[in-house]
Amino acid sequence: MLFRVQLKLILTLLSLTTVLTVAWAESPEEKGLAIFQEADQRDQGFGDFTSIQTMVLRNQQGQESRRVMANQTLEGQNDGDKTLIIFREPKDVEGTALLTQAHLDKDDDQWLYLPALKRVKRISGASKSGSFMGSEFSFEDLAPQQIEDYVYRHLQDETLDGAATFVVERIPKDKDSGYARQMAWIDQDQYRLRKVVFYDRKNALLKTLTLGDYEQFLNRYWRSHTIKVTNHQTGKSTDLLISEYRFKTGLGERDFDRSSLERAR
Amino acid sequence: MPIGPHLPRLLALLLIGPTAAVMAWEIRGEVSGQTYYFPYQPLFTEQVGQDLSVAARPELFHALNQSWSLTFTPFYRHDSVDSERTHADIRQLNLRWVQPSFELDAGINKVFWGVTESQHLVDIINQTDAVESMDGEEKLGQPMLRLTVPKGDGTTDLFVLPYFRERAFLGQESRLRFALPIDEDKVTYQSGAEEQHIDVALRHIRTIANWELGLSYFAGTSRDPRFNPVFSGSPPTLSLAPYYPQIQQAGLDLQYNWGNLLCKLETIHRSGQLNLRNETEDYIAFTAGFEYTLYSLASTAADLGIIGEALHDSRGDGALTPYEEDLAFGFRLGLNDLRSTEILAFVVQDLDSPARVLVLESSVRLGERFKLSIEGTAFAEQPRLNSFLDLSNDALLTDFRTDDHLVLNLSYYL
Repeated sequence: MLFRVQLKLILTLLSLTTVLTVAWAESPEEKGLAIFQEADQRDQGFGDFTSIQTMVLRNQQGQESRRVMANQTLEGQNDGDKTLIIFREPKDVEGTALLTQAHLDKDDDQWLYLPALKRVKRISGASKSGSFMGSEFSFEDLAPQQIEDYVYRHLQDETLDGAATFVVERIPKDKDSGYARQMAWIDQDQYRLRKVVFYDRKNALLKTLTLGDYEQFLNRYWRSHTIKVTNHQTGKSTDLLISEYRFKTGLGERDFDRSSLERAR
Repeated sequence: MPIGPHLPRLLALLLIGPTAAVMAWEIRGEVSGQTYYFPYQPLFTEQVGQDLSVAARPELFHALNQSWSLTFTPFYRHDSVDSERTHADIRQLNLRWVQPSFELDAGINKVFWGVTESQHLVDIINQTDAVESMDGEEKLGQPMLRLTVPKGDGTTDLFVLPYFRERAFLGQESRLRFALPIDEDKVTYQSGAEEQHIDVALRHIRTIANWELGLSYFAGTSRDPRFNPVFSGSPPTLSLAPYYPQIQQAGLDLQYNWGNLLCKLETIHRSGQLNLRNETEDYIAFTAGFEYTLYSLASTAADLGIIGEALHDSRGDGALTPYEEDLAFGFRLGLNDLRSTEILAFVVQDLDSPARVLVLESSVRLGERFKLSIEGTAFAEQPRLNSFLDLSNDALLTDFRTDDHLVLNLSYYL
């Protein structure tokens, strides 16, 4: 009896040591990667979802302009996700559609559909730093994010708006990225991205992005309804309001091929 | 199935239907006002300098269910000076059936083929709406049956085109027209079936890593007329009668994306076409070039695209285009501001004569639904013709040589 208790104690101590050793051995880089892998893991299996996105663009003078888009996303199986963005406002670009095939290890493929000309144009998937429709979001901010896109490093833990968060630095691997680095705040409770601070290629503070009004879908997938980005260098800002999230709508590969651009509405 | 017995029901549907159906129709499109300004005196006495016009192009879309939909896009322009430019067209009246393994379109529709910017050699399905704009970008609706079969990274399209659309030409009052009037009542065809000749076309387009590859074939009535001098009217005056031969055209379009650099090629081989000397001559033509985009120019939101293309036509002086040996160079600046301000400037320079065409386009959105655009075109160093018989391709724009102009267009989007 005594022997068994001792054995149990020894085993417990042993396993504890193993755990501690692993924990101690985990470098900030490994921890940073592990945090994003956990966040990614928790979002896997959504299949597909659609949403309506309204962007409110604001310039230095406080003038506003609206962009409205319908968004469809199909989860990638052995490759990155596919997204189709269909513009609804402003009306002069209504029906314009942008199809993106994200890749894990190379530039994304992108096709733009211009409805007045009925023209499908393969555009540069390297256009990462370009402004998306005049907003403070760049193409890379809105493209499907892949784990493989960055190198990570856990910096510290912080409390952000009352929530315990991990602060992780991530450095884009792609030389065409508009950023030297980003700092990301991820809440420890649900592994949701809460804030990102962007530094430009010269490593100067560029933008702050915050994500709020999270809602959980299918008892698993968290999505933000309000994303705000402020450009500290120009004073311009963009609010992205996302509504009408629908999951597992039955979208398939055929809804994301070239001919789907022509019927996108 | 005769439509007769169903007519009362169809009419009832059209008359009573709207209350129920109006919700199901989506409407977009635009209405616009346009004016041309010509700073120089016209070459021909009938020509009027100032021109005002209004146009409407609503697009109505109705989804009958998940797989069937109907699109109707009528177009109408009313012009203050030229009755030939006052014109109506059905740009689209198309029934679409979407299935998992194919799509079928039946009706009147528009398609676009190709990758280059300065001219569109491969694009052949739709006739150019030459009275709408002189840049060839506007097209007439084409009656067609189209089968689309997507498979993996490729798509194959099969077209049956049962009716030919003649090119329309500006009247005597308009600027930007040829010296001799074109008598559209005297159109002739090589085919005995005339405009009823059934044209066919096939296209395959495929993505292979960073490449976009398009292959196409067309057999049928040429969209490009040759002109025969005829005497018409009383007293008889010399005019030109369009003649449309039967052609075969094979096309290849290729684009390679290398980072922010897009490399482009379009090339065609056409047989059966008559050249400027009225001889049937097989020919090869190509457009080859690049488009390079600088994103976030000088740390601003602006994007700058630089475009360079070489244009070649193996017929040389006999080509039906002024761009037989030319270079096109230009840029496109998008400010990415709230108003989406854009500026496009380019020049097409002939390589064996000093002739060139310069174009400057700019557009800006006003409020949420208006868009204002200004487009300027200049014809520089255009050669003069001593006799109509000397006509070579480089002199094709000679009658436009005093027609430099500005076009102001204001559109309201529905």
